[in-house]
Amino acid sequence: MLNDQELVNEFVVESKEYLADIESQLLAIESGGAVADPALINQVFRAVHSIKGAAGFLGLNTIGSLTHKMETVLNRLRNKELVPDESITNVLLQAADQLRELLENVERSNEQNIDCNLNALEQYVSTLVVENSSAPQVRTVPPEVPPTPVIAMNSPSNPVIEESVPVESAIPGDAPAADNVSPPENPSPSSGNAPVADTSIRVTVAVLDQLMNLAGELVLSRNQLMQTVNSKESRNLDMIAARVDQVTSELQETIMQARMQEIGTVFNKFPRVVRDLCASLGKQCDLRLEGTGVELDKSIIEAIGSPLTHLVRNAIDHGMESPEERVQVGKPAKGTIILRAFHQAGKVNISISDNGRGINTTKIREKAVARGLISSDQAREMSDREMLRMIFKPGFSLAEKVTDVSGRGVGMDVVKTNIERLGGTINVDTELGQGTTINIKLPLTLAIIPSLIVRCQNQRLAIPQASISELVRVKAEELQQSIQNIKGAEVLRLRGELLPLVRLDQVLGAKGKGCPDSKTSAPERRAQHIIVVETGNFRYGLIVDSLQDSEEIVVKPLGRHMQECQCLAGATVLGDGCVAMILDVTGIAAYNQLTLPDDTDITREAADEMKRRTETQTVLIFNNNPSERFAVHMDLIARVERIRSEQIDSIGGRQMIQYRGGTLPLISLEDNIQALPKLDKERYYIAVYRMQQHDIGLLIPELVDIRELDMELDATTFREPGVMGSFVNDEKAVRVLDLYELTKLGRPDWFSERSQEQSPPERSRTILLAEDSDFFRKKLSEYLALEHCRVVACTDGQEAWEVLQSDPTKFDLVVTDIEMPRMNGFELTQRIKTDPSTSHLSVIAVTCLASEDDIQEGKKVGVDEYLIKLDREQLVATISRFLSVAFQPEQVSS
Amino acid sequence: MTKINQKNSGLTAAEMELATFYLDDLLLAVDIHRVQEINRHLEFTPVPHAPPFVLGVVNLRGDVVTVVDLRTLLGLGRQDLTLQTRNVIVKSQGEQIGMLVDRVADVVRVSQNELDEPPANVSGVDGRFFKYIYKLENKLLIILDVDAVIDVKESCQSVL
Repeated sequence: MLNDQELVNEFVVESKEYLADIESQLLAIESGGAVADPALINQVFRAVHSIKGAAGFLGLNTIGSLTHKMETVLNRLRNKELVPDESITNVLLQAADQLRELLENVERSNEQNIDCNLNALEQYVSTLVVENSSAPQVRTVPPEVPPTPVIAMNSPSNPVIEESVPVESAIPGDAPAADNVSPPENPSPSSGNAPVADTSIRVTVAVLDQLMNLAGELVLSRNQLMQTVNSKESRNLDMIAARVDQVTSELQETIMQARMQEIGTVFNKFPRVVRDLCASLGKQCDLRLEGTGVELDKSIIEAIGSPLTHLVRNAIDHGMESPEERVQVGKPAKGTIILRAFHQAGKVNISISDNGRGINTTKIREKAVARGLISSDQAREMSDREMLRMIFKPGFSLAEKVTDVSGRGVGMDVVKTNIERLGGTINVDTELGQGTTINIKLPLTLAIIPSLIVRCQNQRLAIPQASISELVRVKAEELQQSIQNIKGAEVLRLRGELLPLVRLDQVLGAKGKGCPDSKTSAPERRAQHIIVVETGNFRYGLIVDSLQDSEEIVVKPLGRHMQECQCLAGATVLGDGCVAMILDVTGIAAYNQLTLPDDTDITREAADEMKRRTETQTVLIFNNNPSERFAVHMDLIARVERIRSEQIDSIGGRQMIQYRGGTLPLISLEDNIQALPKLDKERYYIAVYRMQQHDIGLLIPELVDIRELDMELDATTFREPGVMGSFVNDEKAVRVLDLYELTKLGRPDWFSERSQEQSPPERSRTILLAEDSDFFRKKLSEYLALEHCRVVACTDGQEAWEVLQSDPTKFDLVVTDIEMPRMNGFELTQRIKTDPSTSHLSVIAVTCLASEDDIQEGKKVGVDEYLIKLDREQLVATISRFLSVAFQPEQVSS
Repeated sequence: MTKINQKNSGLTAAEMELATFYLDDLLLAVDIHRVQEINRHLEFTPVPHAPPFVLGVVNLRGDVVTVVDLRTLLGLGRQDLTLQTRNVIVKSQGEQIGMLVDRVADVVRVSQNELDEPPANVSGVDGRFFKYIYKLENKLLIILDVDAVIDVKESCQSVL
């Protein structure tokens, strides 16, 4: 019947491309109504016309007659004989669905009965008068057609949107169900059942050409390599190796590029989903798509469709109120759902936000207790945030009644699992009455991932870098205090946080066969390597035997026998040809049944610690000379590196090293402050930091520790330029360095330019400073005074607010700490920003730890800028920027 | 014979070639079209939490291939690797899978008409995974149902 398989395949792929955007286009035409963009109608018309033409040529009569009718209706729309409205759009959309269905099973398309679609279209072909009353119900609600097993097996990668939309019933399910005949004996690659488009991808010729070029290069390099190896001349080997290296990387990059697809291909399905769902639920809702051009790897694009559909449907079903309800609470009857994609920090973020009713945590609490997921005691102890996370638990549903759309209690947990399987994370943010936002973070690609190789039980294992948050080494003598046993579970005390620990060797199980000489008998009393990993909102430590290199690994799937190994994400082939397993940190947590430390003792303790932490600073402690100890604030240090002493050059009395293709100036303590000469060492550490747009390294002979310290500094005893104060640690005095002053001493030339170009302002400005710590208040006042600002310092937000109220015009800028007694920085900012007499003031928040959440929170209440305490340079620059802005209007008026 | 022909409907040629190998003294065979290669890749990477009959995985020219212990699967108990041990890579459901055998033997050409239904067990080995029996002059050749033996879930229990 069909002679040229290849031609048909091509037709199917091409037709699907034509149809890809037809839904959004039809919807746009509908919303345009009588003034719909003729160009758009034309575009749809041409698409349908092209399909019709090719179908006729190939003898696909059913497709031909369907497209013919569609074309006629579209033509009448184009000629303004018909006005696009909801019922016409419905009919056209259903026809498009049917068309897509026919294309999926193109071989059997001629046997399909499409009369209902034809009849529905017919009424718009023949009548001039359009009844816009009840739209003809052409929907063939499938008599719960389960997709035939063949389909279920063959198309796991098929975006499951249609399948998971039962109310929409877009599948006139007769196609696969009508003929339960066994599939054709010869399994030609495109035998109808497997969707063709999913296994092929469009690549521009330019990319292919580039690939061809690179492949040619690679062949050349290989030839060179073979030649060199044969001639036993190793002279050129380095050069050839470099070339192979370069070509391979480029090749990898180009291939990855070819696999990238726009997320729009997924997003564009949603206008239809939203429209149909709203219609069936009697809700009104706009969908806004943002960032449709963001590109993701094909594998992720394919996998993200189903979780996103679920979330969008949830947003409408659970999130959106009915129009009446919305009007009652003073919202516009029509809700809005925003689907947004954007890049951030090497990951793709997707957010689904609605302005509906939000999630009621009290309700979750009740439901969770009622379902026995948590005890009522636990429920009382849990914060709202933790409560929100309950919606991801299996078997949890908030829907009042089970509907077709949602409420069966399968869903969010599956969504979460799916997202995490892709190496992503999911988070919920909600405000009662205001709406809900769900944030998903995804890696750009799954195929090649940077990983850390670790060793455990004599096996090498890979852990994706994306899930590692830090590496910790606990010395043997500190084991006792750092690793503790709380109620039978090991926990790591890390900067005041308690992290559950998992011993990787126990996860791997005592498998004797793979490692004949396992030396795991004496694990204690040895330094422990702990990898702190992050899964969603949850962190834990993984104890491994040793760490090896970081490697970019290619993920290979594991065979079907290992599908149940939840601790593994796959396997990879290492540089030496051996296979290493890739660990799945989420799976390991589940395997060990780790949960958030819901044990109340632990949480409370951790919470206390957290509170303390906000008032502390992380410092790097080191010995310059065995008898003298110093500390610098970690916040200011970009990184610590190790160098050999012979790398240090001395030019004109100044030390520097060749570093990353440039020169890095070095600074020694004893040259600038009162200190004994530093130890002579073969190797030094350098703490690299940035000051005045220059990188500079502080030479450190001996590292001692990184510690959390509260800032009870003695600011008098050792005070000198470069030293801000001292504290006592392990019965030794430790001097805390002021890197700003120290750099100024060591490199006065960097600072002179600036002080010249920035002449002191004509009139000194007044800054209101709110800070509860004496030390910081003093320090900040000092910094600001040096910038010719008048400072009024208050000890908390309440006092600052009172001072501000007494004379709102006196101040030009507010600098505030966040954590303060009586009134915190957020509240102060909110008051300032909402009071008309003060709302013009800019607010700069200074804080020790600026977490993403804090920053978000701050932005919400109106904080103009976030700064890290003690980063003097940044503080000064920001303040002068804000002051100059604040003054402009005045200058204009004067 | 008619019964066999029915079951055998997928095969058309009157003759077939079999790759044969030993587990202990048991002579087993697989349709040669199922065998992709026979090699000595015996450096498995163990896979935690895998079923007990999975020895591990090997790198076969860039693909990660599961290696199963045929002895364990058939309830013969484990044995140390020897110089004769071979990894027989077969294709099953589109996936390459390595089966460890004690030693390989010849390729045998048999006529399909002479294949017999297997008995319930052969030399104490469960007959569930045997497709046919072929009588050689002095030995029984057991033709394995590759898919059945590889996909068995609970074989480990029969071992222990």
